[in-house]
Amino acid sequence: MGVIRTKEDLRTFRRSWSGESMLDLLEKNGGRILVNWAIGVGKSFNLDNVLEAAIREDKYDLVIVLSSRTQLVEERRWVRDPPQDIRVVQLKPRPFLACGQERDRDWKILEKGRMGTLGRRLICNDACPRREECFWPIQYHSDHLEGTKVIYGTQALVTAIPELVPMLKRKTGAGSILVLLDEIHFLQKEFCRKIDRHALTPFVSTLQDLQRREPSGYNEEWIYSSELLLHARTEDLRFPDWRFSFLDPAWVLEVQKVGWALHRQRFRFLGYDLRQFGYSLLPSRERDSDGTIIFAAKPKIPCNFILYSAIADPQFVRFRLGIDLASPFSERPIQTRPDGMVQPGLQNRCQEELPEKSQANSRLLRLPYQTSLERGKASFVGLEAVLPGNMQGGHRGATTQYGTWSDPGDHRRF
Amino acid sequence: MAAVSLRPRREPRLIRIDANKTLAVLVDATNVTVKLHYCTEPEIRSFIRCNGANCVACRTGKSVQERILIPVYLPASREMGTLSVETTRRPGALGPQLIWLQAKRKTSMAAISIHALKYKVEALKWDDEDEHFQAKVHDFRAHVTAGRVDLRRLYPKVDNDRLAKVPEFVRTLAILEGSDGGDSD
Repeated sequence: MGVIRTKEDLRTFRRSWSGESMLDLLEKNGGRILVNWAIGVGKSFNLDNVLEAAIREDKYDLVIVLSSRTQLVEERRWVRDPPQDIRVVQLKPRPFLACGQERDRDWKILEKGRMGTLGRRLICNDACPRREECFWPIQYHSDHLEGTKVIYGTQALVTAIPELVPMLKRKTGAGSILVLLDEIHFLQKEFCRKIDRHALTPFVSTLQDLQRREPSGYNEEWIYSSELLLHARTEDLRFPDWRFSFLDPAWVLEVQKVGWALHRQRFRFLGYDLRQFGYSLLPSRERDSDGTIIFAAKPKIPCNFILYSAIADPQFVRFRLGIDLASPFSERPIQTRPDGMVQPGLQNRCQEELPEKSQANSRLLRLPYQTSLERGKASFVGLEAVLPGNMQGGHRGATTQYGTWSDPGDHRRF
Repeated sequence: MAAVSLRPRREPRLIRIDANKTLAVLVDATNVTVKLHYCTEPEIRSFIRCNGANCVACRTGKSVQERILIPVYLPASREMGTLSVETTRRPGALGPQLIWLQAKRKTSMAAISIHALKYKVEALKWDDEDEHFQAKVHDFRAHVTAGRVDLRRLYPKVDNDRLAKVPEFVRTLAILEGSDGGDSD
């Protein structure tokens, strides 16, 4: 089916692409596909079906669903109505309102220094009246995540923690994982990271202090590489032998305790940043004139995944993720109307079912996609969709275009 | 022009590190730094020392590589040797690991090997009171103090006059600096 003209067409189309058939399609295409159906065709509906089929038929041990926003996560079928027999977890941000003003203020200081482990120890302790009922202290614990079959979260998580997927695999004990990505917001974010020299120096002195108190070979390895990083030049940074050890939770807590005691607000726990640096792209690494280390850390998705997006260009996704993926629907694009006009009935249906999605996408359409790694160049993605009329000031459609965009401020071609 | 002689003098030989472990004891405070050019020209085909100001190799655009020459005692063969260490600061490089060995491990003996461009330096216990070691190091230091040994001489020095006669250098300088290189062929 190339064109959906009526509601019946839409129903038929949705039935033809059941969760099971999508999983078969995924398998036939090497385990990584882009589903670029037009807005309103039912990508989110399909995502829910795929998730259910993957778990109910035991095709995967764990399914991770990453949506662009919390609101969209909360619209998902198993978030609204979790099954009784399957362990489902929704990863959420810290409940800052529940923390109370004073605790929230303390938390923000520690969060700025990436000292969440210390925060859980110092702030989420027995003195907190909500400790027993609060999810936050245990959200990322292996004990809490072990055996979980479905994890929901926002794409902000994978932006903040590029190793999120491998981390969840380890903590849940899952063998096979499927990641379902609802839209491409995480690919539009900056992958560039910085390690400030003024943060690295207190970090190293903290490790040295810890070594004097409690000598260990593990800590010594961290000191060796971190000290070396203080003096490394750009050409030194671009060797592949910068690898920082797996973060031992007990060590993380000790370093944060000592760092906080020695340096207070000046301390930033760099363990996570240094791990990401170790996995970063070699040509992206450099030391600037201030001594700041700059690098690009791409999100790691080392497993099967389906990316749902009406507007993502496969080339753009391949470039940003650095991995290949198939786009089985690009060869037979699904349009709501061939002439770019919106059928009112269909439009209403789309808006009833996906109100937030339509708004989000209409906003995205006006923005060319800039890629941070291209430095100075911008690219824009192709469109194969018809927009709801009231979103575009009339019943107008968008057309497909591919190419480079020299002036991000010029929207005339859209 | 005659080919450059690559034969070293009485300086301890350069040690080539490979996948096999080489046992080496670091000898304190006698390290020297040297700047080198690698020349592929048929008349040279080796590392040569940079001549500093107005160096012909520099003028032709040859890159400069800095090396630290570290004298070591080789307990297996009971002789002195020299490690030529790059100044790069990466975790798998030899230099930073040797510095770490001395500063943190409080020992001077290491088993050194290299795998996939990554050096492995294992700390080993060493008895500084070993008589043979003491004698060799004493002799070496005496030669250095008297000026009879200079580790830099492990790499040949070719003066600018001789370098200026290497045909490829002549032609390169003629293009880069516009001088009349003539025809050396």
